[in-house]
Amino acid sequence: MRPETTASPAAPLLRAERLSITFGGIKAVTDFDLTVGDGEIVSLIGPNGAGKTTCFNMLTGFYRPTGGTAQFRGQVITGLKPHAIARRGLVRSFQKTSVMKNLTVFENVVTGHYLQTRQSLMQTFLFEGASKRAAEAARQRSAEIVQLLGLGTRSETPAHHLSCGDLRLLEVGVALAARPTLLMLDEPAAGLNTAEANAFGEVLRTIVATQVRSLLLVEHNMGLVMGVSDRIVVMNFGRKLIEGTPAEILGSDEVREAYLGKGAAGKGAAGKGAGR
Amino acid sequence: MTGERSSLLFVLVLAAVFPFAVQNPYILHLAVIAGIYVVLATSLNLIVGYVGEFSLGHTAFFGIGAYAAALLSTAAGLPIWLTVPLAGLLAGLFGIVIGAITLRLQGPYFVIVTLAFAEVLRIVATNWIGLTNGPMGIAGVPQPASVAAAGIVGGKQIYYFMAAGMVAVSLYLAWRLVRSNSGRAAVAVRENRFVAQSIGVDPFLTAMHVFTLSAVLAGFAGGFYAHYVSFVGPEVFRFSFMASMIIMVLMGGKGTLLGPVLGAVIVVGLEEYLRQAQELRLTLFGLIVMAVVLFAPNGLMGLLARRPAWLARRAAPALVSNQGEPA
Repeated sequence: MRPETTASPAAPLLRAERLSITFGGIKAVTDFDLTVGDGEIVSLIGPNGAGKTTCFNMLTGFYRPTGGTAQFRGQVITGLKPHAIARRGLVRSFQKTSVMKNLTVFENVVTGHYLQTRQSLMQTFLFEGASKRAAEAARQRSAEIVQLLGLGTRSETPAHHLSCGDLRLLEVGVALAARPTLLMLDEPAAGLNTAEANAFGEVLRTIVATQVRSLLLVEHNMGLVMGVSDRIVVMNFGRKLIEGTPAEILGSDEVREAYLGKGAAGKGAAGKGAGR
Repeated sequence: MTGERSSLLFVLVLAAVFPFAVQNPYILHLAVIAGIYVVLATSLNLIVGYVGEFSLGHTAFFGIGAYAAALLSTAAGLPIWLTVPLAGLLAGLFGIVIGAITLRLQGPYFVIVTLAFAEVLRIVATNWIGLTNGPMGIAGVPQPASVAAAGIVGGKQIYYFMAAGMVAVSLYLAWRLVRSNSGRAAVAVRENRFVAQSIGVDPFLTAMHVFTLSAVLAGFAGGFYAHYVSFVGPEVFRFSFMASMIIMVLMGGKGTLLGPVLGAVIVVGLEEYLRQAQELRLTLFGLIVMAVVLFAPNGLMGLLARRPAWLARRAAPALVSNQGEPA
């Protein structure tokens, strides 16, 4: 089930170097470096407005960086259109819940299989054998994904009738349907209560074990982030503040300072002094 | 959705036996006009219902098809079974050119630019007298010999079957596109452009596919119209065709294949029925349309879909039988 990758173990799946973008005179992100290794779960955290979603948008082609490059599986992807990047196996979800709300859960996931069921115009109008088989395979796999996410009972429900938690799961389902090598989720647990977030964390672990090679997560729910991440990158004011393992990040003064202000960092540092 | 497929087949069967039950040339005439409008409404619905953009310039393709068939038959002497498909192809070529320009725009910008294209073509048709005979139009577009020989009722029946054939071909093409991966991609773009892109859909190319087929279908309708009324003038580009198409698509239900078919048949019938009301006709028509838009925004199909019993969606395949799935 796990998609193969051509990248050698040494080379990271995703490597972004000195990514920068300015909007007018505002430097939204400056000289941002990021790597996501094969099989790794990386989280990108930071206070609101730190530039996390902007990074997502640059990596997936929705924004064009004003500086720096991103490489995916050794190929430069900066400057490519979003759909072209998705076709290389880098698939994202959106911070503001985005599904096809007039379609049912099942139809949403089937639609997500677009790339597996692409067909020529000849096949569309004349010969349908191959495309029928592809469509049937997509339906089968859609049913599996719907089950995997625990949405089985709501398979035929129109997406606009779903609860917030189910919508978040459906978004992941649509992204999974596109068979990403690297899945990028932007605040997938936003709006979930603690129980839902915990369940969501379980789903993420299952997904990384069975469906995708690597995961890049933007998330504010620290329980979820600390629980699933191999590595955490902290952003503040458009720059990378620090990166490290969850334990290192928890002990870091700089992170405390970014989130809570200077005084809090001073107090926290007493007796700890870990950081980096 | 098997409900839609069987409903469409039912409509086609009904259409096939219709001329044997009805021998009245006036009713047959209405049926032919309805057939032309079914194709036009289906064509517009591909853009409004599947690309999700609102075209106000769809008469461009209808008019191009009409002029193409008129010129090909009067100047080049081609028979109807060649002129109508060629009219569709030419309209399709124009569709590629116009689509390549307009589909880079969205929302109101798309609406305005498509409207401008239809208006430009109307002005060209009025002023390029060497080709189009200007405001005088092209008269005497030949009828097929079989129609001339068959008498009044027989001739209408022949036209009826031609129209039914055109409707069947058009609905089949639209069906295949909508049910294909390209059709699902178009729906994805309509529903959420960002999600569509993030699952690898190229929004522009997808819209181009649908737009081009839409232009081809409108070209078919135009070509057939030219032969049927045997006269083509610049008024084929006029807005009233557009208004009728919009009403049909909205009333029937955009984004469904059956909706525009129902819409076209009902609107053509209603227009005739309301003729008794003379000047009040258009007013009454406007009121009916307002009521539909206010109370049934998804049209008749939206009302029908609230009865899930007979339009139930096909259930997802069971997970138990998992053979033939390469994982």
